[in-house]
Amino acid sequence: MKLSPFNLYPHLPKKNCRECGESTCLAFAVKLLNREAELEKCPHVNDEQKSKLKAMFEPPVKEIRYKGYKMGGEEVIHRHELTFHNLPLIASKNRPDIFFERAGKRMSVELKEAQDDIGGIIWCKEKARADESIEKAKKDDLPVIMRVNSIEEAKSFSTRYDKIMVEFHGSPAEVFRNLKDYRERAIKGEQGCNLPTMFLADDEAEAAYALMRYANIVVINNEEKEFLEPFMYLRQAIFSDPRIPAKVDAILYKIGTPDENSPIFVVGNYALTYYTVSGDINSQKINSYLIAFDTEGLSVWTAVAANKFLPSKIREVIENSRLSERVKNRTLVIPGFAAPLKGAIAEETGWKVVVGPEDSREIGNFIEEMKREKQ
Amino acid sequence: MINKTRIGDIEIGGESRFFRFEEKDDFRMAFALAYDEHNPKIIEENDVDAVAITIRSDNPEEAIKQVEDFRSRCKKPLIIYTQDNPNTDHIIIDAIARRFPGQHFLFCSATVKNKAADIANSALKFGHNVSAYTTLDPGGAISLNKDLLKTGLKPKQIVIDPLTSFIGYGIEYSISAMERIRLDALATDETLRMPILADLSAVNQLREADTKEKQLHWETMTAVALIAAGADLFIFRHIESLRKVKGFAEKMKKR
Repeated sequence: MKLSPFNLYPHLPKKNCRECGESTCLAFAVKLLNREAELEKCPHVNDEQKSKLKAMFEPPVKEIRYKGYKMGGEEVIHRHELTFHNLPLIASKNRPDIFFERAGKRMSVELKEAQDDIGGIIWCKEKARADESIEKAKKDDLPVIMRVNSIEEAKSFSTRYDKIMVEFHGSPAEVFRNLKDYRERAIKGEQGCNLPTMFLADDEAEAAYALMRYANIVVINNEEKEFLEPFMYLRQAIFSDPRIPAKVDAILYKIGTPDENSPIFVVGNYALTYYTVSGDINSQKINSYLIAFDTEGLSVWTAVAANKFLPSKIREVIENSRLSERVKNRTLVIPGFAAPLKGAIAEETGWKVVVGPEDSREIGNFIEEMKREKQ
Repeated sequence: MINKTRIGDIEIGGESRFFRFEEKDDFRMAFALAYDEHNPKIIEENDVDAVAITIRSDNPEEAIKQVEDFRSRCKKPLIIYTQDNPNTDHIIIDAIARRFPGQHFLFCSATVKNKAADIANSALKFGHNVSAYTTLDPGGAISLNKDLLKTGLKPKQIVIDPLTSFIGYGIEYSISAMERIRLDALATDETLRMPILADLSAVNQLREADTKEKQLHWETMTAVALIAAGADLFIFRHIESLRKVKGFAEKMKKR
């Protein structure tokens, strides 16, 4: 069912008291629906209203909040149906102090795996200790992960406490079968199938598959930077919102304080390309212009392969920005991967085209060489 | 059901469900290796189901010679890339197809730019297969397949290549393109009922994967994500990644 704020509104106090921080109860309802506010912020809603409201707007996979993280909260089987919402958290034994930055987001291993907890989330591996673990979790207001062998067993815990998660136990094939069935049943609204899940990966292939197929916490056993980097990027990609293309405006950008003699670089408008290249140029302190033209948000490499690296789109940016009035030189520096298109770009724009490096970290050296050649 | 495509002496495809591992489906995947002149023996490894070569020349005689040379050393199922030249692709493919009739090669690729119908005709006449390459565009894949099928080429002679983008280079687009193609195929759309190709062999060109170790991780995890998305045929750059991913697929198939 597609909810509107008007479905929630009748169950709110309708006082417009502003104590939640919103100007009206209806505005609060909109925030609730978009998951930008929590019901707990309303001091006047009673228990009965609370449970009615929760039942209405809770996503098929329950969202559990912990230390500023959100786990679960998912609504679909495939990302193109809407989007996946919350990055699965990554846990490992030593929680290495390694950070990666990409598209303005900082990422790292979030949780430390211990014997009986995952970053403070209680981890109950034995059925015999289930009651005790749940009591402890309730007392300390912590989430608790229950190790289970089947979906039926997972369901049996669902009403015991509102911060229960499950870890399916078994061979990887069995576990992934359960994770998929459990997600499907959650989407169908089956009682007790709404708990977020945790997955213990034996190797990098299992870890990658778990990101795709419905784990909300992935415990990994490889802590090397070489693995973590692509693993984190994969997570970011799968959980990126397909409704928002990962692209920047197709315009002319200034890096530093360029003047009429500054170099002009050309890239596609994939957000990651733009951030990477502008970051690299910036850190090498090269005052320059950067044309990010419309590749439909594809990376340079992909755009060239996909025939979306179109010279006419480069010309559009040059014309719209009136670049020829701003600079004296008439030279475009294109990415190394776009070398096959050098001639076509020169023909379309009427500008001289120079093939730059494949890697924008090399731009500094490249510019030095260009200067030397001129002299 | 997804068609079964025969490449050399192996068959790929045959899924009747999207969640082929999770729902105990009967299907076959294949793991190919891109041929590396500097390490020619590696393709003989048991784990390598098929081999991908790229024709270096735009001249038909030289192209045939290259395949003959290769064939004299390796009899594994063969995937053949041309130079991606819209003016000569169909000529090169026709020459090779004619010289090796009935060997069920997979020719890469028929595209919207080259003479796709001519390529389809050569595959039809001489008993080969064609990969239909579009760019992250399920709608485009349908229309290209329709063009190929119009020539009389059988659906089972087509493999869909929706373009493989790597982790960090837009893999999310490839994931969603493959998922949508496979879901549509199984639901209603006969023109998409083909095995899907994921070519990972360009992993050594990625800026961020600048050591071999990183390349292996990049290749392995891109492949695993695309296994989940529905790909059937994989072309690897490194034997290590091939083994890892194949091992994972076998583990997932165990009941």
